[in-house]
Amino acid sequence: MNSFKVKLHNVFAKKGKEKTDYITADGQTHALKIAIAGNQNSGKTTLFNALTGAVQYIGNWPGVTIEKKEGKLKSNKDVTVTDLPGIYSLSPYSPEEKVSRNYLIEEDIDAILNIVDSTNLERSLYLTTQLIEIGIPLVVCLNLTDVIKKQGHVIDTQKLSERLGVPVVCISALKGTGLKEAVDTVLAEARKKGANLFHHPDALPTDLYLQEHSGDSLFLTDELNEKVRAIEVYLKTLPIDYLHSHFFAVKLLERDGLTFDRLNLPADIKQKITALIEEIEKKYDDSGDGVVISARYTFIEALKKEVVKEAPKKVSTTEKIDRVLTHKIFALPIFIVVMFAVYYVSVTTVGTIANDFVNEGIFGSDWGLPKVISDGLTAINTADWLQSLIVDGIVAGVGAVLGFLPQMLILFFFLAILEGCGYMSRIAFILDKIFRKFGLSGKSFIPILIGTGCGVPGIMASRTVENDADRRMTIMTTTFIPCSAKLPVIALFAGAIFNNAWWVAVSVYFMGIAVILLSGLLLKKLKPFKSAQAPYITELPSYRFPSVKNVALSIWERISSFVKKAGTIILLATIFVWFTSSFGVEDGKFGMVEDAENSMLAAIGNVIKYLFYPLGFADWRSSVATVTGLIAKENIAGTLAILFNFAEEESGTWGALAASYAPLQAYSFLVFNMLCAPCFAAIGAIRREMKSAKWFWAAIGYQTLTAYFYSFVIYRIGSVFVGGLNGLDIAFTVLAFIALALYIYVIACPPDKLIWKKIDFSKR
Amino acid sequence: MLNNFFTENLGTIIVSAVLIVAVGLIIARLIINKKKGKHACPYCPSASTCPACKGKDGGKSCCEKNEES
Repeated sequence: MNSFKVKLHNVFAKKGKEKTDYITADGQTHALKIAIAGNQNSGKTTLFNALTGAVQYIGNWPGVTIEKKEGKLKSNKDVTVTDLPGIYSLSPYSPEEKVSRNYLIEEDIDAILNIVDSTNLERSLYLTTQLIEIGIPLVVCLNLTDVIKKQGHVIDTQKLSERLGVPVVCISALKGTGLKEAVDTVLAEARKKGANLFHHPDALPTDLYLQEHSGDSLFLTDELNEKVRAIEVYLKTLPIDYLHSHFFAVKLLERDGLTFDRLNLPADIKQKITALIEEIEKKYDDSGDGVVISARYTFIEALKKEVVKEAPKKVSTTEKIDRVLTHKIFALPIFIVVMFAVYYVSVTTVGTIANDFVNEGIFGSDWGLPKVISDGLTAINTADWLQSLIVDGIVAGVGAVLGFLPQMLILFFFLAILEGCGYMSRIAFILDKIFRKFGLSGKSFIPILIGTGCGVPGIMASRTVENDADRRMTIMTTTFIPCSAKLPVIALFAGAIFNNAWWVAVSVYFMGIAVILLSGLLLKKLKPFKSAQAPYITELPSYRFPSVKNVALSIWERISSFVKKAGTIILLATIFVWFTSSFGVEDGKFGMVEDAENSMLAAIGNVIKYLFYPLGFADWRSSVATVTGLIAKENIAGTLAILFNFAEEESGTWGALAASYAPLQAYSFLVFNMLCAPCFAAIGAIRREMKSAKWFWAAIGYQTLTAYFYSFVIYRIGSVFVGGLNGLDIAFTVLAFIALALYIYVIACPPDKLIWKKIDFSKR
Repeated sequence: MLNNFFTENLGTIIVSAVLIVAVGLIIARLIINKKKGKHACPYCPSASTCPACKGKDGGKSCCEKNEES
């Protein structure tokens, strides 16, 4: 090892810009790594954004971050900061909590910034006590101290620091106050860690560091500490990281299954440790984890009384608003009114006005893009086929999708407001009671809510559901709620067939929820989905005015991903559709066709259209549009735009489309495409989250069958009222009534009375 | 004769070339993203701010990491 190089390196660590990487004993450079850990919705991501200058999305409801995210500290690019998913304990239940725990134990972290919500000190400190036991230097950041001050409470941070044995810093992550102090403190703590890693002058020798940082837990009783010490003696004989041995010893005392699996204890040691645990359990007549939890909360309650001077209790504004919005009778009607208003304004009123401007203006035939491009291409004498490709294909197809951008902008705006103000987490709470009656829980609604933007993160958010059976059911049903990609299709049909009727978009949204609920009832009858209903405990964050930055960020993210998709996937799809619908065999020759019925696409569509005959839209164009919808749901609008020659019509009239669909057919088509298997990106997400080929195919099959059933029933039973049935139609209508009766029977019947054998997917 | 062909069809040739290049770039981008495991990222509303999807942390997207776990 070149000691001159080390000295030279560390000289620069003292002078000028402070370096925070160190050269280790074996000559490697070790850059500092800081982790931000804390409860859900405590301000971790806000702090992360403030420290790194990143612009991670922050929602005002728990469970937004489900994966860790890394960035570099703004003030010192050598330091890596990691934002972890929120956890309440280091005994994780859900997959994203496991992500946090594993990261804290396995990664070579130099210090932890523990964000503590000062408005919920008791609950937050439970995690803090466990984080301290890990043995990594820790700084407690008391967040939301401005809210505490407003409420009139006072926290003695010095006493809190003394009692916890770690530095405590007051911050407001949102306003950016106290951040410099937090960063300076955490870097100072990180430098003290492990002299076996660092040769920094401030670093302590390993044994001195461990002497200062080892010892009994402040949060357990003397008796429990004695047991923990005894367990640590056994662990010393094993090759585990000594820095974490105290943490593992406490976890073993709690009978933490993950720790037992991880350490893979030899049989004799396991027996001795188990005997120690059983002694405590017998004495206190409680499980090991119950005893430890009780000891921690006893410490925390006493600590809170010591350090917090509470102001006389007043009813907060949040509580006053919640008395109305989460009222046991009014909550659900209010939710229905709110979502109705959101979709009514976005799709029908303001949205339609904005859309008309875009469709008739920017994509219009008078002065819009199609005319400009068409005139330009004509001026440079481009071939007719190329003009057709660009104007009738690309511009018509992509334009049909982008034409609905204003409606989506308005919808995203409202969704961002609802998320930012804190109402979204109330929705999950309100619906929990209803969801339970249908075999689901309010927690399953969070992925569904996210799915209103895009199905991919919605499916991934199912990781917040702890129970395996419920998680699978959530994955299978998330995409029943219309995502933003389906909005152009809904808006197109609402405008072309239903004269911009307000009820089209609203009915599709609430049908999605209804199908999810009925799916819950149906799937719970099957063995693989049977499980005890998990309790739903959620934090209701305080109401706050959504920040302009967060709302703008949310809208920007969604709109830019939509536009990117239009310019890539949809563009390629429109070229394919144009080519296959413009070329074919006509009069015995292959080439551009006069009549689209002779095209290659028509030939394919005319084969698959029979699949959709029972659903009422056995037209090759509809069949093809449905299939292209698997690439991206917006493609349905783009494909129909090309096949029905939108480019040749007065903008926004869609006359050919309106002439081809009766209202019932159009609604049946809409229902099928809204409920069937999602786009390839979402299908890929289902495959990844299911982690099983059988479950993946079960999910896709279930979604497609559900869509087929609903579309079939709606069209066939609806036809009875519309009239004009004959021959095969009558047979299908009878079949629809039978299918509906069977469906109602299966849903309503108690599981043990079902007459057929239950399907078992549990064997993988 | 070839000169006449190019002169008469110059507009078509240029526009076609631009289109081919654009389509080629799009396809190449999609293939590169798929190889990096970012196949769903462009369509994820959080992709524009996710450091994983931007490759800042070594290029592994959250989708790819989930496949490994």
